[in-house]
Amino acid sequence: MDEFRKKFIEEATDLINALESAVLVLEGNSQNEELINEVFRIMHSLKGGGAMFGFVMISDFTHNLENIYDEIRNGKKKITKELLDITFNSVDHLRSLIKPDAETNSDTLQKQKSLIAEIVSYIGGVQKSVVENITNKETANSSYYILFKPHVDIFDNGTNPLFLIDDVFELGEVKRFIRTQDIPELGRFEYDKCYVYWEFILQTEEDISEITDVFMFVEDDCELEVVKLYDGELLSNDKFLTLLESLDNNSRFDVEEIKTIASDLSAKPQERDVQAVKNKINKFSKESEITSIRIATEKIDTYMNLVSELVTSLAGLKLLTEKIKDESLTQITENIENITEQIRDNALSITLIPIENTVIRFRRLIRDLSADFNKNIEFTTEGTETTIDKTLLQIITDPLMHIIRNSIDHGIESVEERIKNGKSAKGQIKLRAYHSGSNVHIEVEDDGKGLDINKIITKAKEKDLISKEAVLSKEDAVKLIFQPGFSTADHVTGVSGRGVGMDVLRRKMFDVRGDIFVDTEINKGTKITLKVPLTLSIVDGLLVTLSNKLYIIPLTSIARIKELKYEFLKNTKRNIAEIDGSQIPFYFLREELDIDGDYEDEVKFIMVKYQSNYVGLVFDAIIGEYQAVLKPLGKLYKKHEIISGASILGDGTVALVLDTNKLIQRFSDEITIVNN
Amino acid sequence: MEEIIKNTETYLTFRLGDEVFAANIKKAINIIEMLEITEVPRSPEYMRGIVNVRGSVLPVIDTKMKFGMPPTEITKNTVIVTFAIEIEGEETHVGAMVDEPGSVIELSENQISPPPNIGAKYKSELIVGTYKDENEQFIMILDIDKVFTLDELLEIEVKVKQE
Repeated sequence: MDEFRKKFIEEATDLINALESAVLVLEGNSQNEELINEVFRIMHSLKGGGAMFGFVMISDFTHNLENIYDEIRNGKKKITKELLDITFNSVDHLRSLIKPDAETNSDTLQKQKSLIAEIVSYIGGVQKSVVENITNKETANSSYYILFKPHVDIFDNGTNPLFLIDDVFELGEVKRFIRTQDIPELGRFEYDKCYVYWEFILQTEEDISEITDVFMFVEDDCELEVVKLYDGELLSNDKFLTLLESLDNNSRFDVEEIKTIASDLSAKPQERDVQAVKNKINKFSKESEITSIRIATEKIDTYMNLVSELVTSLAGLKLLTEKIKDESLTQITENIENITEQIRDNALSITLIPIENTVIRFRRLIRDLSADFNKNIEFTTEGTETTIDKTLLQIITDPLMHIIRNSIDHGIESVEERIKNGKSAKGQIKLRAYHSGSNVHIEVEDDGKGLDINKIITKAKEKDLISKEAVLSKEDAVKLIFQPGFSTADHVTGVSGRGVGMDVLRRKMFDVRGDIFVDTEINKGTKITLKVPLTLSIVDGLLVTLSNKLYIIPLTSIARIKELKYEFLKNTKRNIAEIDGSQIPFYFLREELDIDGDYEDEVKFIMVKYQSNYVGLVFDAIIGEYQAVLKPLGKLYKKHEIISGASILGDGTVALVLDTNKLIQRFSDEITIVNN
Repeated sequence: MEEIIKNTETYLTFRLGDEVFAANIKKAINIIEMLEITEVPRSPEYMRGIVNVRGSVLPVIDTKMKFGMPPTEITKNTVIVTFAIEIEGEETHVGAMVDEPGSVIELSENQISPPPNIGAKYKSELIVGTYKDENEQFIMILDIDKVFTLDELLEIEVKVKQE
């Protein structure tokens, strides 16, 4: 049973997130009926699932919450700020309800009580307006036929069909038929199988979707038929009941016959409706087939590993094929290559998820913090459908959160200040995401006060981060915010100003072969851009050699490649070469990495980006571009930061992938130590 | 009279120089012949590099250097024993170079003597116990997890020995 609870918790987490994001959107479009329905539907699913899997607190709670939205759905009450606050509190509360200790945690229990009280009193208030608003709405009961025939093994996944039947009874007036003729004789009876099925005639004012919703969690585990019989009440019709009983021979009804009786009783037959409902059910089951399935992340990881091994094996096969030069073998190899590429792309796309998944959290953060700081902020997004590797998304979420917090706290001014400076009262924070080559860029832009360069320089001098006499360009000054321990905030607030963050953030970006840029204009605003690779497992790289050993440099970090004479480099002072008019510091990698052998006359000078400068790395030769499947070196090499992994080439040799950022960082640290 | 054998465990023995060591077989994944090692620049000397084992990368450690002995000279007998060790709660594989694989032996608890205390050549905390086989060969049973995870400690020892 724990398995099923776990599964429900996963599902509930998704539902709660969806609820939160729907309510956030609802805040700006309070008239949108579709959204209201969506909110209602999510609550309903939570209630149903909660009850089914024994999360009584969730079902109790959502039941109350659902009541409010039912009123809204029926136009009896409008959405107010107060209601949205209650709903957001409820979202938070629901999150604590799926925690394992929910039912024993006194805080949670207390919260449950107080929130329900709040909800009930809110509905109480609503009821007054109900009296005013309600126009003599007819109670339009319709009659339905329902067949619910669970598969024999429905108990296997922990479903108790009796709960579902209780739910049907809650919908309205019901006549129930229990079908037991499938129960086998005692000898062949298995205690964990379900042999019983049910038929109902239901008379309700609810929509047909409400009926199918009852069974939404078991739709794959049962035979379900819901047919609208009649636009009116049948169960109060004695003639119908008599006829129905005459049809009942303790086995399944013929729906067509019931329908005939029903339509005989009425002037207008319901053919069309039945068809419509059937279509709807068909559509419903079809959609649920294709939308999505849940896969454990380890399974995806295994899949990715296997795909990368496939790619590696293919490279071996290609080498062999070139050697053997057999036409039919070539053809097969080409086929396999083609398929492998598709599998690889498909595998990659599985691990990529849209940024939207994270943005929901930011909306909420901005909403809450704006209130805390008494600021008026509008958050807009663009390109949140942009996809990114799931691991990377997790890695960049905190940094983005941090940037947004900074924008709210330090960037956007108070309403008074904005008006005084001739800005609109409402501050803007815009998140924009887009693909660029094999990278994803995510920008967070605000129209706040921007970074005060002079203040940064003064602070940096106060903290001895730079010398008192230093004169810095704007760009260099901006870089100071990435120094450990740097903060211009005059006071520490609950959210930011502790001076930890920007440096950590930049390091995090470097860790994933990404980068961070700051663009700021005083009184206009600040734009911070995070650049991250699309995926961590595949690197577009340049294959280079040193003493016939292979290394891979990620293409993203390479700026230019030059062919130079070894003599020229050797005769430079302090390893700084003048290349096309610029002074480029460089390293002889052979020496830095302690690799045996000597450079030839001609060497390859690979200029890589480091912070905002270029640094040259000297290699023997370049083999060519290579798409490397990155394999981690394992925990034993964890402290070995300059190598980000290894890649196995087609012929089985191993190439090391260099992390140029860490490499240069390490070299320059060592030089500093030597100089000191 | 039959001796009651209780708590038997199976061990894999291997030779490092003149000494014979043993490790619980549960820790050993497989034994592979020497493969071409790709050196990883700027790593401790006892970490010889990485090898490609059927498409996966396996780090290889010179077990002798790890114990402060001279580096392993690769001969036709040299093999890599893959051990599963636990680092920070996560299982990871490591290849241990040994001069020669030995045999699989079954030992009961009462056949194993406690590790030597004073004057031992090897850090006693790495040794679970000792055993003398029928040829009077002294076998040291290693705590494989500790051997390959206590890297700082051993590294220092190795450095001191070299200097």
